[in-house]
Amino acid sequence: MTARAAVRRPADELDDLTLRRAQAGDPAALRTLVERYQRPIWDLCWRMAAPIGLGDRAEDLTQDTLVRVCRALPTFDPRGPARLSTWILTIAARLALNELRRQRPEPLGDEVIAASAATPRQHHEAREAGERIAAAVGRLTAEARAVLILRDVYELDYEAIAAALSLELGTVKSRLARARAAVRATLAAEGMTP
Amino acid sequence: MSDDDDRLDLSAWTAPPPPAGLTDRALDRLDGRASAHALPDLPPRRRWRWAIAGAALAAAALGGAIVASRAPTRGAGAGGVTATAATAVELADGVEALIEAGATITWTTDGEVVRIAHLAGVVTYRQRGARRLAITTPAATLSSARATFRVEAPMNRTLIAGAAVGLAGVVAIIVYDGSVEAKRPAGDAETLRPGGETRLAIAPTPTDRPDRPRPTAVVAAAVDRARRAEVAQAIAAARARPAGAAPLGSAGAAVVGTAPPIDDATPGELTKDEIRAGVREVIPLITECYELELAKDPTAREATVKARFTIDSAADVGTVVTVGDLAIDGRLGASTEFRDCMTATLEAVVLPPLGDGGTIEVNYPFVFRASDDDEGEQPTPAAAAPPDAPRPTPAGSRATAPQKPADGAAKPTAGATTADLTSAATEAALNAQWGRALELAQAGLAAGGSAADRSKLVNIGALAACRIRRYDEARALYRLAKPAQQKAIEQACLQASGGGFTPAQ
Repeated sequence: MTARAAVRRPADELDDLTLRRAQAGDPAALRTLVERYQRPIWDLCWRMAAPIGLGDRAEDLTQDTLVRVCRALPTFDPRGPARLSTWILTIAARLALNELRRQRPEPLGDEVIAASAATPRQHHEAREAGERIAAAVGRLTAEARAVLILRDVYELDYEAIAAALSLELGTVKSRLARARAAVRATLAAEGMTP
Repeated sequence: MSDDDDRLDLSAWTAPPPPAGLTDRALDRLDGRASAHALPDLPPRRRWRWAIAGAALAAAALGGAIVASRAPTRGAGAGGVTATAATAVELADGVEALIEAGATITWTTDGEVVRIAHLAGVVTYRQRGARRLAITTPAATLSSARATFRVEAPMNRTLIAGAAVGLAGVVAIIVYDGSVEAKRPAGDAETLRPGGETRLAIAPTPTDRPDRPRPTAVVAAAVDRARRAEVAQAIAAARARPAGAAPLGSAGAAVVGTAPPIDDATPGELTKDEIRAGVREVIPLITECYELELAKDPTAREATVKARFTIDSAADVGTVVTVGDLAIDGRLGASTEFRDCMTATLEAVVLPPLGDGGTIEVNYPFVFRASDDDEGEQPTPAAAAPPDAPRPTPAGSRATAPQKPADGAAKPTAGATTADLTSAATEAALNAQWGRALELAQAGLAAGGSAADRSKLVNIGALAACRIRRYDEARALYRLAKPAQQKAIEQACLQASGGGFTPAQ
């Protein structure tokens, strides 16, 4: 696959003043922060949970992340190496991973893919592609899924992913490579050109 | 090959939009407010952290309230809710619904199937047990099992009180988990999977007019006769109990509730304001009764209805409103449908129980008047005059309150707080007094106030300005709104203005 993913990047960073006010506990600034970052957090949590049939957990995970972010905000160093969005996404990823590890993975089966073929024509192609990707990603372990999503959807660098998931840098790279290969193989078997 | 070259293209795999109100729920948790109001835990998964009573109480404090609501009971067989604030309801064991402001649903349980009439607004449904859902919407019939999904239907009324969304002629379905089958009246069906989203056009019916409610919405939303009958029977049973007997609910019998308490005030008296508040909550439904008649008979431009109803209550049981007489003048008087609609709606008024029980008879006049200047503007039950300070009387006795003429709309008063102005603007909008609603909203915004009040005032003001075609003012208010709010305002204004509103000039 050579095409670059059309990534939903994290929202533009919060301005310094609002960030400082949020760190000081200002309610209006905290609301601004929550509104700014809830969508990328939600997207990440949903992508982590939905492929294994736990899409209804996405809201809980998003709320948990937002609460944890707001409480830990005073510890965030704006002059540190991580952008605020990266810091937030790593919290979301770690939290989602820990939570979903406790769940028994329920990869989507072939019946889902077969059923998707019956969708109306006008929605067929886009929906089927999304469902097939979801099914393929759902077959990965939670950790591999997190590595793949953080890298190929959110474009976090390896160091940030390693820090977020408490993995060695080399482990991140190897798991990413294996995850990509597995998804490609699954999609190819479905007749989808990866 | 570099890493970038090896990257997977996952762009076709999109996440659905997050549920409405997520920001508020997260902030409530941060403040520790949600924990006191969340649904009880339901195994095996964690609860939704939706504020229930908190939302209702907050709405009441802001001038909004649950409209025609029935207190949610776990496993209750049937019910109906119209909400002006986000409300979580457990429709049956393992079936939950987050009902956004302005949405209306009714439901019944039929064995393992929960049948829902999704009449208006935005509701997110979540199934965790074996029960199936069969949902009738204006555009399609939905069936689902073990799914979490959102249904967005057009609002019958308007963008009032913040979170309501108005969609023109379309029902949107967004699936977060599980699968949902949507079957259109023509017979074609599609199955939606997690992340799937569809928008289905509502087929017009011969009686449809733009911005007009559907008859079934009015009647179905207003009436829950089965539940009402339960309350009436329970009251009778309570009165028949010998003195000293245990109240219902304390010995294993079901408590058939009515409205959640409005506040912590000591029950025992029903004030004029409480009755008026209960009636005001169904004013939008009463408006719909009139609109339906006006759609059939445009000459019914003005009418007066003198309603006499009895409020019957027993301690710890509930309260039932029974319409005794409707004196309807003019052409409306000949309409059985209007009479039935008014009766059903007034009997859906939810009032707190009287602490000591008793019966109150109330005279309550309504004046209806169609708007002259704008076909799209809502006709107005021009005034729902307050009853004259009824007090509870011993069970079985009667006290008739004298009738008062309709009260006029007061002007914004100097020194009023933003909360006061927000409440007044909401009331004006609910009564389709758009000019007044705009004036109050602008005054409230000028007075400062909390972010919540300001957000609400922006919504009300923008919609009111659109209704009376003062688009420059609508745009000015639109620019004050947050992005998500802007989208809702734009949709509602487009609907209200028939396409006359554009966000940018």
